[in-house]
Amino acid sequence: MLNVAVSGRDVFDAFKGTLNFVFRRNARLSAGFTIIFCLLLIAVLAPVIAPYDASTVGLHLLDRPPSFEHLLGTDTLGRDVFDQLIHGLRQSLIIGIFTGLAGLLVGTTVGIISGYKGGWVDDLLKSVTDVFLVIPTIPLLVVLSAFVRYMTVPYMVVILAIFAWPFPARTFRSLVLSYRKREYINMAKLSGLSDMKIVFKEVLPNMLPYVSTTLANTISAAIMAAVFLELLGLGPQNTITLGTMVYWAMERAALIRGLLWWVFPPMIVIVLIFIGLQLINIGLDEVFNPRLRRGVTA
Amino acid sequence: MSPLSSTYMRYIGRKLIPYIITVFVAITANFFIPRLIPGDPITVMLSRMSLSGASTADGAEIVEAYKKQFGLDGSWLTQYKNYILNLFQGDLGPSIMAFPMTVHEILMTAIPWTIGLLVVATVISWVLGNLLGVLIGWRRESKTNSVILYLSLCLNQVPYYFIALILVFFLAYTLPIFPTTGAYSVIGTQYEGLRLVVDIVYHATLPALSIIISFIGYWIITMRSLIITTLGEDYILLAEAKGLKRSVILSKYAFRNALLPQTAALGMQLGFVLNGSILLEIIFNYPGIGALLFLAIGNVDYNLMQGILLLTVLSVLSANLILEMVYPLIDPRISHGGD
Amino acid sequence: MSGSALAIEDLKVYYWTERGPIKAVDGVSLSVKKGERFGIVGESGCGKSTLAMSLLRLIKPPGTIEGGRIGLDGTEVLDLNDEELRAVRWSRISLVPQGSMNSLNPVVRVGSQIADAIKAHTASRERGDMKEQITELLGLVGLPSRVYRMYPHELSGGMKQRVCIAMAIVLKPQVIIADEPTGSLDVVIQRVVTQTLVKVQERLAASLMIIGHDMGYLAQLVDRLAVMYAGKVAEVGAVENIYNDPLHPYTQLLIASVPSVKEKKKLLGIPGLPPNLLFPPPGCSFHPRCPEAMEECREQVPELREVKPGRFVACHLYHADVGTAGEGGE
Repeated sequence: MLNVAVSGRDVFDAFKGTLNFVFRRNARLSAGFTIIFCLLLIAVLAPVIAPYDASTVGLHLLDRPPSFEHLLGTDTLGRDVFDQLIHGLRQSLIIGIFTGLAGLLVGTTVGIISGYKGGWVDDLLKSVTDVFLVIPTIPLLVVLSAFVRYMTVPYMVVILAIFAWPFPARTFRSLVLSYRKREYINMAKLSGLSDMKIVFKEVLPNMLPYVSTTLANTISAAIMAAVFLELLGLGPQNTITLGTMVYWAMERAALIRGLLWWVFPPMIVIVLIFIGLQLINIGLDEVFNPRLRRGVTA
Repeated sequence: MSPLSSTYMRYIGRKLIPYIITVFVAITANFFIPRLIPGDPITVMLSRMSLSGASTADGAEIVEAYKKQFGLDGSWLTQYKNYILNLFQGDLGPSIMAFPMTVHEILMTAIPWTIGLLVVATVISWVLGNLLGVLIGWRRESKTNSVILYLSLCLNQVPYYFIALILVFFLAYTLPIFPTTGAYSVIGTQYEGLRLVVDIVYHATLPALSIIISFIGYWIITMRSLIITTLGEDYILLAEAKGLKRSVILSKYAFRNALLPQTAALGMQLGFVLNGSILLEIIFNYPGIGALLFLAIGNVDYNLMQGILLLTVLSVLSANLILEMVYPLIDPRISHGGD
Repeated sequence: MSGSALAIEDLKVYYWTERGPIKAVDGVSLSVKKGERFGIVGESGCGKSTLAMSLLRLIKPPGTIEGGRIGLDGTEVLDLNDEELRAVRWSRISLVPQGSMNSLNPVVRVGSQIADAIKAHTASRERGDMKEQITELLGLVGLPSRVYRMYPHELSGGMKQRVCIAMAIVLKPQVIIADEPTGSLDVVIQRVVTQTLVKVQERLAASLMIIGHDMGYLAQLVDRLAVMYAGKVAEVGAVENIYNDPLHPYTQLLIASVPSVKEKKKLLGIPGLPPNLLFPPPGCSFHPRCPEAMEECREQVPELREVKPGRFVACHLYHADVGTAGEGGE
């Protein structure tokens, strides 16, 4: 359908162009990307850079504050906190990214079909989307998670994805609706292009900026929901994530016992992820919507 | 359109139908979802009873008797039918874990705490956030402005439960200014009048502060960008040309326009109040709906779970509905039909 | 120039960009007599709207008023402090905004918005019955009294413009500036709005400065006309004189391009593109498109000079002391 002949040179240029775009255009965009990139790097390299084995209990002395051997100290179960942190980061990011991608994929497909086709297809899909949007997600998330006897990362992604797709669906439906009214869609239709071709050639390219912002939002919301569930004790039971770290810390009254190195680092990393994603969003917004750039009135 | 006109009536009608359908779907979902949870209430109850010493010698008979009592005998279809019938009579059934209290009674003890705390906290954060947002947006360039803006951006990203934990650590534990748990002191049930009120407010301070601090950032940011957009409008330029005082331009011309979408957003937010405060109530041991839901899940109390889920869905839907009915009345562009 | 309602001297308004200043208004000098109707005509982007805004000091960053003087019946507008400026605005000089502008506050009733102007400039005991005054004013512009209680979106385009006209005269200013007051309105309503504008101006014996791009429209309306190009004034004079005997080549081309109902004419345009105001052409800004361009046009900026009584032109063709003037052209 898309006739694209690509050479190695083109790919390299595209890569350079993207880097340029990301790091030169906008301060907030580069800041956000830097944060997220560093976090991703750490997460990907986690198995390599982790000094010890994070999951084995009782490997080290208990409740030790940070030192040279244990950068962030140890917890009450004798595990190295730094270890847990980077593995936890890895798992949390996995949950977030997979949920985000799933939600985005399903959501945009539903939204685009709904907005483009119109008629009864639209009515049906829109009603379904609306029902999901109105239903209170948090209590349902809690109930659904309690339903799963043994929670693992894949299960978590599935459950979260159920609630992740409606928002992109609604966003893209309105986008498609607003574009459908524009002239060039009608011109394309008149010129005889098939529906699919129209969607890919005319509609999608205009929506790319929205895709990235929506993805960032969905990932952010997914991690937020995941942490929420984990704090309630409904997180994955066999893996360490950032949220489960905090949960176990609280279960052992770490805050009261002054084991701050166990409680605060995962919290800080979680907030960093959110800030990074948010900065990317704001940066993208400013790039594509010049009126918001500081100091210039419309 | 005045509230009594036929256009308005038709508008309401068109909005109501989807709501009724959604409510029905929600009610049905409410019935099925709790029953998906592993375990069943009778077993849980019996194990609790045996822990406290009661004997369960006549096992099967007792189980049957309890099942009858709680309407858990019969097929799911029968149970569903009874559920719907009872619902329409306003009967939410007995609570299994807290028998003989009915679901209705339990909810009534918990709702005031949740609503009181969250509605007040949300409104306070809305008011303060709007004021700060206007202040920042009105004068674009300044060091303080940037600081407040970045602070809000960062704060917006910190979940309320983290803020709650931090507040508890610093203000209740390290410096024991505030109590760590409860909605009122242990002996507070004996207080009356002003002393009772003070005690309740004292206990509500940290939870309320968590909500206020975590949400104020959002209002600041949105109000700021609304004010900036509004100030770029043509009618502001003409207002300046008319030689109006800055205070008048800010209040009557800019603020009034920016406030409309913010009020809608507040309405939406209030609808979610009965929704997402589970962690807050658990952290502070606050006897609200969230904590109740958690207990209900633990005890596999079908009726109570159904009741709470129903309550939350209805509150979101009602807030939506009320908002859609009221908003046209306050936005003159809609209430007074165009040419 | 005493005796004139509005005296603009060498006004410069620049918009500062990363690549340098855009000289939207570059040394404009004009004067408007009391009670006269004065038109300013020019292409889009020639600086006429910027000029209008600067008279009320409504230029926003990154634009700044770089220099010049604006004399409003003796008062130097550019010297006023904030409070004085606020007092002068609307009470002595007012604005009827562009027809397409979203100039009325959507959530406040029309009458209240007009009353705001009164309240901002008069103490409460001096106001009298504002509602009565405003309703009378609305009647003057041909609007029924119920408009007082209506919201802007309930009105049609023409009605909104007439509200703006009523609002502009509520404090009986001496100078009214109308920036494309009939843009985006259809021809029938254009006429109504224009007639209203003229009627109120004559009633007040105020000076009216009308800005537009339609030569034909302005010619029927004003006493004197100024032609602007690329931020400068090309020609000024009585409107009949300019129409019958245009001096500046740009004016000639402008007039020639007005389609005529009476005679069959080839539809003419002006060759070339509007100038880049960031890097304007050296010398006379019009020279790249001018059919009569000479050597000095590329080098020297022509000044605005009075070549006949009441006729001002900025063109080397008429500057006898410049090289081979008088011989230039065809």
